[in-house]
Amino acid sequence: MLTASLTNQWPEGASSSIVFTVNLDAELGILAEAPDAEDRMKTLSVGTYGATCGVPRLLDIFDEFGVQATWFVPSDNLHTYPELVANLLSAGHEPGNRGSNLIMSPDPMADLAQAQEEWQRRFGVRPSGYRIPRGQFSPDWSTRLPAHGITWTSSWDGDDLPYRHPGADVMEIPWHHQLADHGYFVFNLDPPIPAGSPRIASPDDVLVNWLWEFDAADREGACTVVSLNPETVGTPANSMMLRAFLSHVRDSAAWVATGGEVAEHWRELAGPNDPRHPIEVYVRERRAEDNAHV
Amino acid sequence: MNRPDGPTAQRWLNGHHCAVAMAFDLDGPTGSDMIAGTIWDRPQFFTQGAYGPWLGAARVLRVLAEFEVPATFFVPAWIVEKWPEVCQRIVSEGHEVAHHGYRHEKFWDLSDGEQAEIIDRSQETFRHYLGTTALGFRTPSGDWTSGTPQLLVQRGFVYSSSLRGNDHPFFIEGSGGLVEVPARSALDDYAATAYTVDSDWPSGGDRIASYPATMQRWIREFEGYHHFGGVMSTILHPKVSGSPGKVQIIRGLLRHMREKDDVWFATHLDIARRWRTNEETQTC
Repeated sequence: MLTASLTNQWPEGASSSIVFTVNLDAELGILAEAPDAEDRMKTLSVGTYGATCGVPRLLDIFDEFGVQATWFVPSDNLHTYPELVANLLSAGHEPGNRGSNLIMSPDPMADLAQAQEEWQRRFGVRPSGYRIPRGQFSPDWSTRLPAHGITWTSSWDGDDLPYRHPGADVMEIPWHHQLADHGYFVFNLDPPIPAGSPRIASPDDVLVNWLWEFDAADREGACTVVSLNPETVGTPANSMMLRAFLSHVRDSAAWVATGGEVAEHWRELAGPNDPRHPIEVYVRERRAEDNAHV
Repeated sequence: MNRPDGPTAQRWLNGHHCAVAMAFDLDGPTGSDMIAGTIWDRPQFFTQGAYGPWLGAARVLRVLAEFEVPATFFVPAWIVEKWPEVCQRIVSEGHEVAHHGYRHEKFWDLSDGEQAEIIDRSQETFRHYLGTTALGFRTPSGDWTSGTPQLLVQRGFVYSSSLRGNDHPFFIEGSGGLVEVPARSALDDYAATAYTVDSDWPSGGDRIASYPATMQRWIREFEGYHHFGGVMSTILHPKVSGSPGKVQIIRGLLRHMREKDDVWFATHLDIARRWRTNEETQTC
């Protein structure tokens, strides 16, 4: 059950794998939290910062360290920031589908399909990966993903290795809050984001948390998934934290890969999910719960 | 009881300065969202909780084995049904399993009859899957009703670890002899490194604390017990503290505590029994 029991599970003898994902949310993240920010320029600019400063800075840093990341971009931002998207594509990064915006959709799969069309129309690409923009991904939707060209997602938790969607040929690359910068750094005074106005974390503390997670996951041969938001990690100070982290990762024997590369590798390597896997237990128990109420 | 003049051997601890009762609440995805049914619309939240029995508990067991520290796992019986192998491993590696509700129910909302049904059903699950019954109980979320201690005593339970009101074990008044081994919220990883969204924890969106600062804070807690005496009982959750990085916090704490040779590491049950025996012989 522990990953240490598997050896040689990553390409070319790599000790573990690590995926850098970016959620290019910009203003959409703020608007999802505070819809009235449409007319509140300061608040909105907390999101705008991700586009003006965060994305260019992230692209420079990834370039410096030779990292190809997976960028989940809401398709509304393909219209708002076409040059940024063109830049990240031309730098060799992987595009990811993040729906159209960060407002909860009544039909997330229709939203996904529409976003996929926008990618195709504006940039001639169809992302293979999807991260749900808002709410939680239901395994009821898994069988609908391949028709849209989606072969992997990064929307669930529950493991430190990729796993399979139940009943569909789709991989999941689970992410974890402790390796996502946004929850440590996001702040707006009024309206309060986060709701309780907690103190902003120190980048030194976040760096050490990430180093502890990565070093231990690397020893186990796990798949570390880092989630970045340019609005928050793209500041001068926080980006220096990211540089320090990348410098440490560069000195390791980990395989730095895109979500798509890890998904394809794992699809070939891994058997079916263990029946005790969190997602299998979820599907089974939800069905039992539904039957109990019929 | 407090001895500000320096570490003092505790008679009831056979000359040790303090006892350490490591406790892990193996809640998994049980709790309010499961009881309300909302968890079935929250697969991300469910899988984050299930990470505990699926991966986190095995990492915790590895660290406990590394430092040869016994622990008590408070396990909702629903978890025993869904992940029996890891629960059996807890028992076979010499740790204690004890009750924590069936699906982490809030006991203060329940009638005596409802509480008794949960306890009896859980005991049956423990017997069926683990071949053992529990003698200890930690109330999910801590609070109970005035009738709960008697229900436990009537069913042969020796102790509870639900309250916060002391540094030492004590008898629950009017219960007919239930020992309480109180825990401390400062040693709850929910007060440090837990973070979930939808349902939100912390509700105000507070940050995940620094891992080294958390470790240092828990070491300070231990040093306090070591100085004044008492029983240190933790409230750690494999779904929170079982990540590759966060389990290093527990390693650092155990390594520090193991450097002392005057600390008794024991399960809650062993501590409750020795404390009760000592009280009974003293009053003769």
